[in-house]
Amino acid sequence: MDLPVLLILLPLICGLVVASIKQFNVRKYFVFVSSLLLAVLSIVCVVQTARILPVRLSYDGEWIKYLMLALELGMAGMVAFLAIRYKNRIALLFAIVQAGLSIFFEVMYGSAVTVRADIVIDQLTVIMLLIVGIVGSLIGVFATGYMKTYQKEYPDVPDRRRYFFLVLFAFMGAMFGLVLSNNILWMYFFWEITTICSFLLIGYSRTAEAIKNSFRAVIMNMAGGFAYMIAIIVLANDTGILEFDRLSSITPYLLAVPVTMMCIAGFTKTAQLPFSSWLLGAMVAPTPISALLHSSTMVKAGVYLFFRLAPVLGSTMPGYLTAFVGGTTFLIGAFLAISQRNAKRVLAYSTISNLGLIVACAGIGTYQTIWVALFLTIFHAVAKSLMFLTVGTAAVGLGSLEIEGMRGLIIKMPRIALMMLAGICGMFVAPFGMLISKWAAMEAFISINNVASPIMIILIAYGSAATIFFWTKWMGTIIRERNPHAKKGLYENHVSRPEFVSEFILTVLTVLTCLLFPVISKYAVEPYLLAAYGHAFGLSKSNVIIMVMMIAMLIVIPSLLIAVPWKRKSTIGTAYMAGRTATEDLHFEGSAGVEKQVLVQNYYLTRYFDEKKLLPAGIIICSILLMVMGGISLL
Amino acid sequence: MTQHLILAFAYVLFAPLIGGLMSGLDRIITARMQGRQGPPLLQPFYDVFKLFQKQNIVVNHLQMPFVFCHLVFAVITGFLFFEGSDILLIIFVLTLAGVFFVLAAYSTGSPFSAIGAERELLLMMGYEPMLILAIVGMFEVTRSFDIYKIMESPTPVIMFLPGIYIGIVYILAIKLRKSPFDLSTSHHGHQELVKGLTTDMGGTTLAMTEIAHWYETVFLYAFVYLFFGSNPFLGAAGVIGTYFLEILIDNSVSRTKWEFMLSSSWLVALIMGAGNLIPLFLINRG
Repeated sequence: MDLPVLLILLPLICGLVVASIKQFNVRKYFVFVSSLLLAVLSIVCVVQTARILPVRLSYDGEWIKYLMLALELGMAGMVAFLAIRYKNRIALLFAIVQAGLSIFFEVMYGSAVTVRADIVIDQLTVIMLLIVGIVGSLIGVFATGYMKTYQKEYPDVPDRRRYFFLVLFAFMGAMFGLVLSNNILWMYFFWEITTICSFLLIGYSRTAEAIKNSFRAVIMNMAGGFAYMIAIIVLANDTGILEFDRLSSITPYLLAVPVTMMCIAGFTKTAQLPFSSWLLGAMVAPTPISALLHSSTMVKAGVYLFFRLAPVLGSTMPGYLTAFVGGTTFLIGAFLAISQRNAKRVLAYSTISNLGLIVACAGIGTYQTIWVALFLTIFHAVAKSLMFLTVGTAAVGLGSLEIEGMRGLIIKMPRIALMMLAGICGMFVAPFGMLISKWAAMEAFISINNVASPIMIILIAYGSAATIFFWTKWMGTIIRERNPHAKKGLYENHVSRPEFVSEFILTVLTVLTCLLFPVISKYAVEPYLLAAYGHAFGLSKSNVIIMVMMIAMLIVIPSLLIAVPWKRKSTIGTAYMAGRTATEDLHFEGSAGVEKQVLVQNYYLTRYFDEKKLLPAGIIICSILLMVMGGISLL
Repeated sequence: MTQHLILAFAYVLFAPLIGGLMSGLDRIITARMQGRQGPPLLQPFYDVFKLFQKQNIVVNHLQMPFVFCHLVFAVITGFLFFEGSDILLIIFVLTLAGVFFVLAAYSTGSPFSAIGAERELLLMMGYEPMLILAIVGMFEVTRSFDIYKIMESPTPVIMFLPGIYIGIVYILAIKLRKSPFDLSTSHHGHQELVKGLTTDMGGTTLAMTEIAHWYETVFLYAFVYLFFGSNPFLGAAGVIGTYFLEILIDNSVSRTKWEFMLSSSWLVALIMGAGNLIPLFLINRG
């Protein structure tokens, strides 16, 4: 069996093996071994193909087609079954329609379409394989430790951890398949699997809220799948070509409808406005699932679709409209993250916002913007998964998911806090990853020869100002060191080893990707751009040197200063309390002789960045853009 | 190239001197506007030297490292600027310096510092869009992010960017901690937020924030110079004019609330910044 097929099937096999083991302590090791195996396998696949990229493989055999169809029908049946059980009519409707469309396609066009290469492995695939393989596996390792505490904490939730790991590994397999597919039909197949897997995982706890939100997710994503299927039928009917690498050979006139439809599918998966609500609803799931959905799977499937479409999106009307949808989502997502008190919701809006920028870059579709989009994807995968995992661990320790609850985390859980800080730095601090990309995005947008250019720049200028606010606020809350003499790490003892190890590796990866981004650019991103767009793009050498030096300084200076014994020379006093006598942890005697403690909370500016007003506004704007997009494609 | 490096090192060495003198002059002019005699020109230096002699009292272990990083990155901002690096990148470094300052205040946990830190963040959020739009405007005129290329522009950049210049003057008041936008720190300790961000800083730590502010002041006026930079005399006149204008604004308006600061500076960025930028793009690329 060749490597790509093994990569798709092995996760499923691992999942089945893990699920078959009843004892937690034994199963744990099987999860570790499977995760390691998958990570290693994805690396082996990359190393083996590195010199001969792009690799093109085709698989003959009617049986593959029929197997896929049968599985698709099976999945539709499963959704239909659950929809009936939980009385959800819309989901049932989508399941039936989708099954019908699949059969319709097979009957009408099944034999008419010939595909030259089902699988193409190029540099883009390689990058995605590594993201899925490494980040996904680390989340799997984390989950062994986390889910144990989760089950203890929520005794009402039935212990379905075996099922959990089965779906988790199947999800990874589907993601491997999705990023390997060049055949549009194959990608559709894996696309639907990711939809179903996310549906099952979001509903893990089976609480009323979880069920409601999981159905919302599946409905939105099946709507996307429906759009995708329409694109396939139109493509097959008009052109007979169902391969991503041959899309650019089709006359643009014939592409308008299918590309627009696929963009809509992409919007649903990447949770762009107006489809963002499913990703927020998905926050009810246990943390590892959120991390998985946000970093290495699910939303990255949508991103990957946009990357494959980008060559035919560039300088077309659907492309610009896609960019505006992405840009608007970037701005609104960043604004909404300001007003969120719940740490997971802040992360969710920040993901939506970042994905907006990636989608915007893909929509513009020049080689510079694709460079940016690829780096955003890489940095986001690593830093965001780190954020989710550390937030999950901290929330268990502190008993709260609120940002306010993390006050003084640096004292309570120093190691977790440091890793969380690394994640936040990765998300926005210059010159860490995301910021490099934002900066490069701006330079790329400036060079578009179009009125889209100033509009995108204005969107980014305001959006990144908002980004600074909510991340710095969060950092400030973590480092609030109220009482310098307090005992450190009191809340950290419960953190299990798998959690700690996976978080630590992700921290190292975050720093490494930031330090090594010139290498990634040279050996993976630039060759891809050269092959796909005929141009290579890289940052100028002097800028790269400055940035790498600054990252080094950012790591070295604070750690030196914190380690070096300058403190002995300074006296530690208490904070200024307007002349009141106060204890070190800011307890003071109030006017009636009652002892009180100062409580300082952050600004959330809910009056100005109100979710109830801004979100509908964003939904309306983006819906109009979508309608315009649809209208234009039909003209 | 070497010239630029020399200039950059000169900035590192002399910017505190120039910044301190500007601050001293500011205080004299302000005093005269208010009908007072004012302190001697070198008063800011006396203040800072005295701060260094004082015992360094900190509230926790993180405060000092953060303030030090604030100073270091404030220096790097200007260094990169004069060295001729990409100014868009430099703006992000400036933001980084600001973030460290905010974190230093946050770390104390005291109510006054915390309010100062929150307000400083609001201020950063307020001025950031305008700064970015200004740089994009300069790029659009000169096709470069290099300050030396921008200064080579045959006509002064301000001729193409009048709106953006006005926007910059507006947000400069924020960045220079001038009234009406001195929300996060104030010169007078008896006001509602005491000294805001710097409430819990003393001795060496406070001295470092003061020096960092001098560095930033010099950098900001150097940035203003770019608007007029094609002719050195015009440039000098432009910088001096802006300097007086800022002092005048400082003395003639009272502190606003943060709501007004944020909405007005975003509106100014939209009207003066984007309103200048979009026509410029349309004309250039028509």
